[in-house]
Amino acid sequence: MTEAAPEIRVKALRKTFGEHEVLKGVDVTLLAGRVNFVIGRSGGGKSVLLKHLTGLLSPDSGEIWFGDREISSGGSRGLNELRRKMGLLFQEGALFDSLSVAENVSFPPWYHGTMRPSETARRVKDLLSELGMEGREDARVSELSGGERKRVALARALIMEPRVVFFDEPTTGLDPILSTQVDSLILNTRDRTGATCVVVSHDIAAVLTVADQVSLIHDGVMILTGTPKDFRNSAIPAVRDFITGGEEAAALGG
Amino acid sequence: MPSKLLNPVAVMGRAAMDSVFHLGRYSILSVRALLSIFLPPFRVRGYLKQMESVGVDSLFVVILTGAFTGGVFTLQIIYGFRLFSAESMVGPTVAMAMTRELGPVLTALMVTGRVGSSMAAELSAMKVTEQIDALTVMAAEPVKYLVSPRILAGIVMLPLLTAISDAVGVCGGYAVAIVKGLDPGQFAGRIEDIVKLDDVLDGLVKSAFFGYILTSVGCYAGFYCRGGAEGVGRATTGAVVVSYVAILVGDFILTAIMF
Repeated sequence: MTEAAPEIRVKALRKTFGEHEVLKGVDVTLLAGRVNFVIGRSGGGKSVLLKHLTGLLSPDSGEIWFGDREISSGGSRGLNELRRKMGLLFQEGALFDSLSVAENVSFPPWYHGTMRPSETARRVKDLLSELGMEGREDARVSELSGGERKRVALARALIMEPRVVFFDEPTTGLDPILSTQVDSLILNTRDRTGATCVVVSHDIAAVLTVADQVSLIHDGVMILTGTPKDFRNSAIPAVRDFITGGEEAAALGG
Repeated sequence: MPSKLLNPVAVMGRAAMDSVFHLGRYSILSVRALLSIFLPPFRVRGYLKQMESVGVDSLFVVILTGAFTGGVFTLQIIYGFRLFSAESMVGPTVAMAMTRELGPVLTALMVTGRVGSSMAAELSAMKVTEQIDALTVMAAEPVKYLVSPRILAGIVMLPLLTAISDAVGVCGGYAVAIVKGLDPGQFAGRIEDIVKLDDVLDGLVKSAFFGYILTSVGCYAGFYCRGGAEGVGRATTGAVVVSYVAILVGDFILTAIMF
């Protein structure tokens, strides 16, 4: 692969909830058109970082640059313009219970009025078909399995053809077969649309097979950013613990 | 618990600060929702859906409440008025009480129980399952999409429900009066002389205000819900209790100003 340009740059990001400082000066650069994994232990600050990247949380200090725009101090109007170029796959899908599968997927273009209804219907059909959900357009959210919800949520995240797609622990709670499918979806998203993928996860197997770049957040700071090979060969104790813990868990599970 | 008992000043201070915080955040949310009604995109279907939920779906319970309220009120006053041979004042008194007070307040309380609680439950469930965050990330303004239609539906539909409740209440009173041996002319004859259009309109204005209160409080409780299933339950109960108190206090203030 050719050298990738930076898509998102995070500088000295800090966030405290009450007495607990979750992010203690996070610095990281996420690469355009690549699959960027942000990994770390549960409670390590991954999801908080993701909420900052999507503007759901404001930092106490620090900067977040999306291309050449600083988003952490901007108003909601500027942020909403950028959000139209983002897609987020929530951990549990966050689908709207009151809507059908097709209505969920078509919600962003319907709300913004950016696509003709016929074009939206075609895109919904194509995306659902691509994600193995053809024929389920009229199903209610409550009728879907966990894996189906993830796929519908991914279709919704992709329908506006975003420049950046965020995945919040996409394989958590899925069986190994579905996890592999989700990993393929992430790679497919990158290859098909050229989108930047930012995956928050603690799935070591996915990191080593899917990621172009890995960043490990530990105790509120980013202690490593590099290729999966750099990650695997790192001598940093926290990285070694993470890898061996993951491998031991995989061995026990397997 | 012991620390609360031992340090009542700190508890009261914290409660006061919490109240100011919630009042401020509630004011910002409800004003934003009101202003958003006039900003594009205009999704008329969402507004109509909420009006159906607040108005049409509450019709049965409002008619039932209005009929029995008018009936029981007549039952109570007819005995006393007979002692003074003032049977001809039963009808105007029932009509006055229904239009000025009982219609607006009881309709608001019934709709709070049915709609305010359901709004709080629905929005808090959306909050804890990250659906509201999903709207935000899709650049779909959640206040405009979720709160504005509900508040507008409350403001528009409560006066209509109240008007129906007023009419049904007077009819209920009339039916009871006839059963209790009052002459139909005696009941209805002086209503027109004593009950003025302003009495009816002021009652409807009050009910629009109550509609705003019950929907905005329900939405606020849901929108800022915290925690899982327990948080949903707390938000729902809190919305109903706060709405009831706010409606009764607001009723007192508005009545003192209007009449």
